[in-house]
Amino acid sequence: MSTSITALSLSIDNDRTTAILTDNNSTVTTLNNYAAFVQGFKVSYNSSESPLTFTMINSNYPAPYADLLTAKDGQWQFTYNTDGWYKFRYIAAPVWVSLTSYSQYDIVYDATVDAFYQADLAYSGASAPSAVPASFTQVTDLEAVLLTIGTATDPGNIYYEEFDTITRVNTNKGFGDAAIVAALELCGDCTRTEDVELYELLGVMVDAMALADGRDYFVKGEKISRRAERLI
Amino acid sequence: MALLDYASIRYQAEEKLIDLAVEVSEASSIKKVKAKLDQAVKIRYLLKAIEASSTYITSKGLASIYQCLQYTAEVTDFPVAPELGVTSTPTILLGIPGADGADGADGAQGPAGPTGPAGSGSVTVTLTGQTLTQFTVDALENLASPYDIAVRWDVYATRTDTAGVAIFGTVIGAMTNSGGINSFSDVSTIGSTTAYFDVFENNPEISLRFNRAAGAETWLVHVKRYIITDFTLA
Repeated sequence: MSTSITALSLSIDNDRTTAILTDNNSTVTTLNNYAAFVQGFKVSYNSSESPLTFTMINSNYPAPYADLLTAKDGQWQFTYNTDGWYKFRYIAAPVWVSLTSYSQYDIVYDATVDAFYQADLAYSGASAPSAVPASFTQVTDLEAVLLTIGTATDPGNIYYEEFDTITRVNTNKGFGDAAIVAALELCGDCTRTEDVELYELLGVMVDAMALADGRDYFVKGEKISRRAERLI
Repeated sequence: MALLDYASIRYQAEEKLIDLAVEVSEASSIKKVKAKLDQAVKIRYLLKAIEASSTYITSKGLASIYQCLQYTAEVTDFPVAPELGVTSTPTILLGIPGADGADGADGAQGPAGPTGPAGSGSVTVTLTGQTLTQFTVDALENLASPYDIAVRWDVYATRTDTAGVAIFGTVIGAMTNSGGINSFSDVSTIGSTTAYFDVFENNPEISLRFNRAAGAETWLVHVKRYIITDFTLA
C-alpha cells in the first residue's frame, strides 16, 4: 500500500504576492531517484477547486512536475491573490529504470518526457513508459490517484500527501492596519468608534481562521476569509 | 474551582469563537449580528488573557477568567459521560379482554393441486371361445427406445367360473434399439400352459397379452403397470 507522509509546507512572502510550496520530504531520504508531482488548488466554500499555476523554482528537473528527491529541495511557486482554503496534492514516485520490473498500477516518473505514468499492466521492458502506451497511462489527475489509495488499484509504490490549509496573510495585514488606526484615537474610555470595531472584528476573524486551520474546518475558514477580505 | 476542566472550557470556547465568526461572516449586515460579534470579541479577549498572562496571574485569578469564559461562551456541556440512574420496572396495568371479534370472510379458493400419477384399473376379461384366445390387456403407447426402455406389469388373474384357480406374478417387456430395428424381449411368462401372460410387439408399441385355453372359461384379470424410465449412468 502507498505510504502517507508529511512533506509540504507553504510560505508567503512579505508583500503577499508570491507563495512558495516547499517539499520537506524527509521520509524518503534513504531512497534515491524519486520524483515529486504536485497539484494545487484554491478551494471555495462549496469545495469547487480552481487549479493553481506553478513555477518550479528549485529542482533537478524542469517545471512543472518533478523534484528529484535525491536533492529534496523542490519548491513550487505560484502567484498569491487571496486568503482562504488551499489544497495541495503530492506524490513521490520512483524514476523509471529500464528493464526494472514494475507491478500493475505502479506509478513511475519518465524523465525522457518529464511526466508520470501508471502501469496498466506489469512491465519490465526496456522502452520508456511514454513509448509504451499499451502498458502505461500518463498521470494527469492526482485526485484520481489518491482516491485509489487503499483499494485494489492502489499504486502501492508511492509516497503521498493531501495538504489543506487556511491562509490569512491579507487578513492579518488588515488587522494590523486597523490596529494602527484604532491606536491613533488616543482615547482610553470613550465609546468605541467604527475603527475600533473593525479592529475587533478582524481580530475575531484572524483568530477564528487560525483555529479553523488547526482543526481542519476548511469550509468555515474559507467563509470567514471571504468576508474578511471584503472588510480590509 | 478545581472542578472546572480548563482544557475543555478553552476548547469549547474556541469552537464557539469559530462558529460566531462564521455567523458574522455569513450575515448580510454586521449590524444584524452585533450581539454575536460582541460575544465573539469578549471570548477572544478572555482567550488572549489566558494565553498571555497565565504565568503572571494567580490561580484564583485564572479560575475567575475561566469561569467568566465559561459564562461568556455559554459552555454548559462538559465532555463527561452522564451518570445513568437505574430505571425502575414500569407497572403495566392489564385491562379486561374484550369480546372476540366476528369471523372474517372466507378466503379465496387455493390453487389447483398437481396432477396425480397415471392410474391403472382392473380389466375384466370374459371369454367363451373354443380355441386358445389372446386378448390384449394393456397396450402402451410409443414405448420407443431409449427413452422409455421397459415396462413392468404386476398381474393377477382368477377364474370366475371355477373357485381356487389363479395365476399371478410380474411380466417385463422391453424395447431395444439395435441397428435401427426395434425388438422386444419377453422376460417373464407365468401361469399354466393354458393360461398365461406374455408380451408381443406392435412396433413401436409393445403390449401385454393374456392367453387362455379354449373353452367356456371366464377370468377376472387385474393388472398394474409401471414404466421403467431411463437413468443414464456416468
